[in-house]
Parts: sequence; C-alpha cells; structure tokens
Amino acid sequence: MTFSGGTFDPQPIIAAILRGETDLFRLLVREYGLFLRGFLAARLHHLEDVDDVAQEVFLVAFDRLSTCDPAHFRQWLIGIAKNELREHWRKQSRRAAAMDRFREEVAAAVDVEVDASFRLLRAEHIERLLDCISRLPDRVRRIVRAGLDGVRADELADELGMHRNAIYQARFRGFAALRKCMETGGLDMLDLSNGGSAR
Amino acid sequence: MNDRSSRDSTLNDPAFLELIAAWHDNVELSAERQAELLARLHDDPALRRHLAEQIEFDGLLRAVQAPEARWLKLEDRLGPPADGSSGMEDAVMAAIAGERSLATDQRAGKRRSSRAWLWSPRLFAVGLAVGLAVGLVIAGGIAFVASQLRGKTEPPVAAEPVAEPQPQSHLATVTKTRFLLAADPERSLMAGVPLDAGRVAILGGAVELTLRNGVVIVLEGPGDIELKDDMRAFLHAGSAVVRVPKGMSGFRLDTASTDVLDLGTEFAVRVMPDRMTDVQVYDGAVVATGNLGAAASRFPQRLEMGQAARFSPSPEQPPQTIAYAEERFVRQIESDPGVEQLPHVLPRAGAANESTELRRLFGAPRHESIAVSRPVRPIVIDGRLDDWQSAKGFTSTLDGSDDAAEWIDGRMMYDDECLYIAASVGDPAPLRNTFDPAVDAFAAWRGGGLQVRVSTDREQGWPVVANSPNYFGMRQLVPTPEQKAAAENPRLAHLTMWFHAPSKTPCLSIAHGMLVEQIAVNPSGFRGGFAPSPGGRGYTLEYAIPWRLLNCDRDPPRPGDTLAAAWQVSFSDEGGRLWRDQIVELRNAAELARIFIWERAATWGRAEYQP
Repeated sequence: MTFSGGTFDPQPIIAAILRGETDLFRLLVREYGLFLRGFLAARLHHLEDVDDVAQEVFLVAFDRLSTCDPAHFRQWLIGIAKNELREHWRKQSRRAAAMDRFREEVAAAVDVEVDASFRLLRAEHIERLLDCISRLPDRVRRIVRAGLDGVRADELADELGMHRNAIYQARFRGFAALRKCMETGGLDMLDLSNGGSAR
Repeated sequence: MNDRSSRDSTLNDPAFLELIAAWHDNVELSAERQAELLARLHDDPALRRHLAEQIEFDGLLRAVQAPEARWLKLEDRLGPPADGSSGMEDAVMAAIAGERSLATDQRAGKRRSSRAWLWSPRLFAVGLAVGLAVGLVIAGGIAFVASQLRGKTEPPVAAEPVAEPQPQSHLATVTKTRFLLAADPERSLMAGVPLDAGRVAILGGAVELTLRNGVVIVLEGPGDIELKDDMRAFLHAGSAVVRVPKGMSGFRLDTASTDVLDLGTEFAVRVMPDRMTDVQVYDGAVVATGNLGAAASRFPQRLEMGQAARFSPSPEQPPQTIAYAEERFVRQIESDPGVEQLPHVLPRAGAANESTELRRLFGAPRHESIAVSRPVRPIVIDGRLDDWQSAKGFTSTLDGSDDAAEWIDGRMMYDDECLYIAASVGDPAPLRNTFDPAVDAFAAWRGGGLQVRVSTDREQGWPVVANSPNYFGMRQLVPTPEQKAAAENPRLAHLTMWFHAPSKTPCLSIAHGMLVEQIAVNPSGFRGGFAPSPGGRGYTLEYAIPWRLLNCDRDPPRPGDTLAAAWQVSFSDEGGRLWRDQIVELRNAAELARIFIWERAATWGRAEYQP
C-alpha cells in the first residue's frame, strides 16, 4: 500500500499503458486504490457507494489517460473523483432521504478542510496507522472498531455503560491519538485518558 | 486557544456532537436544526476543522479496513491479467492440497467445502498449460508430472556451474538451498542465482532468498512466493519465514487473506490450501490484518514475539489465536554440502542425475505384494517387534544397496478387530518429527514417518480403480461422474504414522478416498508405539488400527482376500522438519512407473490376507 509521497512513480507505467500495455493499469489501481477509496469514504457514508464511485473514477481515468499529465496523476485522479462525486450526488439527490442530503451538505461544507487534511497524508502514515490501531487501549479500540462495524453509538453506549455523547468523545479522542501516532509513531495515552468515562 | 483546549471545547459543543451523531449514526434532525447546524458550520472554522478531521479519519479507517474491492466492470475493461500467474498458484495450491490437508485445522470446525475446489475446472487447466512444468509435493512423497518433463527433447545438461555473483540491480539472490526441487525446470534456483521481481515456486525442500536490502526469506516447499519489490512480497502458497535486518521495518508479506506488516522482526507465514493463513512471530512484532470480509475481520492485530494467529478467508470468522510452536517453520537452512547437493532443476532425460531424481520422486519399488498374516498370540503394542516373528514382510533400502543408512523391514497382520502394522526403519535422524498433530498433521510426513495406503474394498479386490483430482488435473483430463465417485470411496485409507518428538507421542492421521477433504488425527481407538533402535540409527514402530477407523468393521478383510496396499517411508533432516527422501514399496508393476501412488490407487501393490 503506497500512498502519496511514496517511491511509486506512475509516469513510466502511464507511458507503457498508452503504448498498449493496458494490463499495467492494474498497477495504478493497486497503488492508488486505497488513496482513492479513502478520499471517497470521507465524503460518502455508505461503503458500497465508495466502491461504486471509485470504480467509475478508474474507468474514466483509463478511458482518458492520454489527457493526463503523468507528473500530476494523483491530482488528476482526484479531479475525476470530484466530478464523479458530484454526478453521484446529483443522481442520488432525487431519491435520497433527508438525512442523506444533510450529510452531503455537511460533506460539502467541510470539503476544503478534508482536502487539506488529506493532502498531508503520506504512505508511511498509512503503514503506521495499522500499527497504531493495534496498540489502542482495549476500550478505545472497541469504540473505534464498533464504529467501523456499523454498531450504533446507542447500542455501544448500553454495552459499555456510557452515555452516547461519551462514545463520540472517546472516538474523537481515539482518532486524534491515532492521527498523532500515525504522524509521529507514538501513541499518546494522555489523549485517551478520558476514553472510557462511565455515564 | 491552543489546539488541545480548542479540541476539548469542541468536544463539549452540542452542535459538534449532533453533527457527529448525524454523520455516524444517521440520527434524525429536524429541518430547522439541520439549517442551524449548517449555518454554524459555515461560520465556525474550528468546528469545520474538527468535524473534517473526524470525517476524513473515519473515511480513511473505513477504506483501510474495507475488503478489497471487486471491480468487475474495470476487470472486464482491462481483460485478463497478462502474467498467467493464477495457473501457477493453483498448481502449487493443488500440491499442498494433495497433502490431504484441506481440513488444515482439525479443530476449526466449519469451513467451506474444498471438494468443489479440488474438482474445479481451473485446476484442470493448470499444469503444463501454464507453460511451467509444475509438480506436486504430496502426502507420502513428492509428486511431479515427471513424465511430462521427461518428454521434452532438450539436450541433456550436466550440473550447472555456480552462477556469478549478482549485480546489485537485481532484487534478490538465492543464497541457500536444501533438498530443493524447483517447480520450473527451466529456471535454476541454485545458490548465487540473481532474481528480479516475480514468482519463485518450489516443490520440495527449501530455498533461502536474500533481498538486496538484507531481508531474508526462507521458503519451504511446496511453496510459491512472489517478490514484488524491496519491501513487499506475496505468498501464494506454502510457508515462508521472513527475517528483517536490525533497524529496518515495514516489510510486507501478504497472502490472499491476510496482510502482514513487519515492525522489525522475524516472522513466519503459512498459506494453507483453503487460503487460511497462519502468522507466527519469532522476534519483534508484526501487524497482521485480514484483507477479506467485513471490517471486523480486517481489524489489525498486533502479534508480538511468541504469539501466533490464524486468519480465515471467511468474512464471518475473526482471527483466532493459535499455539506458538517454535518448530512449525523452517527458519534457517544449511546449504546442501558438496557432492550430496541435489540438482536444482529436475533432470532432463539422460541427465546424469536423472536416476536419483526419479528415485526421489517415485521411489524404486522392489516388491509387489505382502502377506498379511494372523497373529499367533495377542499383539502388545509397545513399539517392540517381538510379537512379529511369525509375520512375513519385505525389506528394502533407499538406493538398493545393502549398506544404505535408510532402509525398512515392513510387516502387516490382521485379526477380526484390527489391522496391525509394524516396521523396523533405518534412519540417520530417527524419531525427530516436530509436526504438531494438533496443527500440522496434514504435512507430518515431511518430518519423517511411515505412510501406508490400504484398500479394504472387498468388492473391488485388486487392483483398485480410483484417482485423485490431481491425477486428472495435471493431465488435463475431465473426470466422469463415475470417476469422481470412485475417488470418494470410503474404503480407501491413507494412514500417516509418526512420532511427535516434542510430546513423545505416537500419532496417526487417516484420510479416506482419493480427494480427502478432512483428515482424522489421532482418532479414538488406535494404538501405536515407537522404540529407538540400538545405536540411534533407526526405530521400530507398531500400530493397531481398528477396522472401524477404516470404515469396514462390518465387512473386514477375510482370509483369502487380495486387496491393495502401498508403503512409503519418509526421511527428514536432522531437525525433523524438512523432508529429505523416501522409500516407496509395494507397487503394482503393471502400472507406469511415473505415477505417484498417492494419486492413483491402481498403483498400489497386493496385500494378501492369509488364513
């Protein structure tokens, strides 16, 4: 899993694809797939939507590869992703529930900040993230994991004897600690000291 | 306001908590409240920043832990991969499947049926069709499509010269080999050979690869690893131990179900035929992450020194902690010494080493039958053979010479309750098998021991008609329904008997039919015993196996029956871990020599049950 800033250089691969070695496009998918899905997952609530849009992005990229500046492939890909996101939201808006529309508006409102945060990510951060997650204290780890598994905060609050807002706060602190760990390699337990307060 | 206090302030901000609840949990908000929150969001940069951090990080985590996407439209657009590697993977997987290990974990309970996989048309398309002469290392010996190889017409070659030291530009170098059988006869894997990114597949023995950055990988056969770059490899099949130089971390060894990230360590990974992956850490730590299924099964798991875990390809099955066992993997190998070094490619017809290789692959049977007599008095199973004086058997040596260190004297008896098996074995490394019956019974033959294949099918008599899926697959034949049914004959049994040295326990595994998807390990009712031979150069063994365990207690063999049986004795290295050689006996001389006895029951010799 190499991310931005890694040693992966797409330029010779793109040149080879354009010469007819289309199979090599798989290398680009492998290298940028996670990055793209992460970008989309920060904007789309449902993971299946993330994968659908990501596939569309790669299909468009494959079809229009000759128009790409290979030196800026990642930015170009993100540009396609933003277009596809808009298209996705446009299609969805007709049938989307009120809360889905609200989430889209929230995503749009924080898009600049999410973009800025995402631009800072580097390959080594992602590699380190897995280690950081594995080192979380059990309670915070449970909270972070439950969120990923789709367990609602109310259910988790009942299970852990916490208030729902305390779950959100613990998750927030967990994310902050993970981000710091991802960037520095160290997990700051102080950040997690209030991660398990009972109601 | 500093960052922490700003964050704490946000954490207690009802607007932030409501936005998070709406984002994560779809908590309903009135239209009026939605508008208020959006307005607040537009006006409050700190709130935007903290919410963005949450949303972005949540997305990142979900992406990191999501299953690999299956982008079928994209795959259709790109067409099939050009490397043709799937055939190779299937073939080596088939090799390991032949170890009758498809129930790799006898304790694991449910798993997907492997039978469909065994009969998969993909399997039939492998073999020479992939352009590689792929062999199989299978229960009781080494399987290889040698007949296909031998049919090639390349001029004979002598032993290859040692390769020149590799230039630094190559990704890796073969640094050691031990009892090696390479999968691709066209590609030498002798020590010193440089390697670029790509697949390395072996059928038997072990090979040590050293990457240019100092990472050392020991691959045990049968195995198939793909070197991707300095920091990444993919284990398609088999077992590999990775040793990362001090001060380095971040090497990844992935499998079809698991990604293993090194954190400065020595660790081992094993891919089993059903894509189960075992990870064991010898030193330092790794982060292992399932790469299939739901987020729950993909949650990173940190494994420290002395820990081991099993990862399932099933989305429903979370990683399981398994017992750490130092000896489960081949961590280091010594190079084959001087003239004893085995060829690194299989010999072509006429090559000087062809006869040795053929013998290693198929044995050199000298006997076609054994008399199975009735005991004159009750047999005491204690590993000593003083009850066996009346039984006639056979003797054989590894190379046919009288002074070979490896030899066997084998005998069989029976009564109304049991089949009895006894052997006296000459073995320079006796009773050292380290294969744990609770974890690795499927591959126990590699550590040294005896395998006996028997038919109790009285209707068929001898010879028995039944072939394994590999038999068809490697010959690109499609079995008929009748042939598939014959392969499931419950009255064919493959017995593996070994002495587990760490626990000093006589062990038995039984597989039935020719495509066994589960093996019974140390089933209730059997008795076994081992005893070391004087001088420490061999051992004796003695087993009593109830007919019930052979599915014939209602109709066991009777006096006058001629049924099928075949024997294989395996010899290991000094550590009881790495397969070295074998003796094959009791073989049907009418069958072609280059067919493995594990894949075709018609090759089994005669067991003549005496009055």
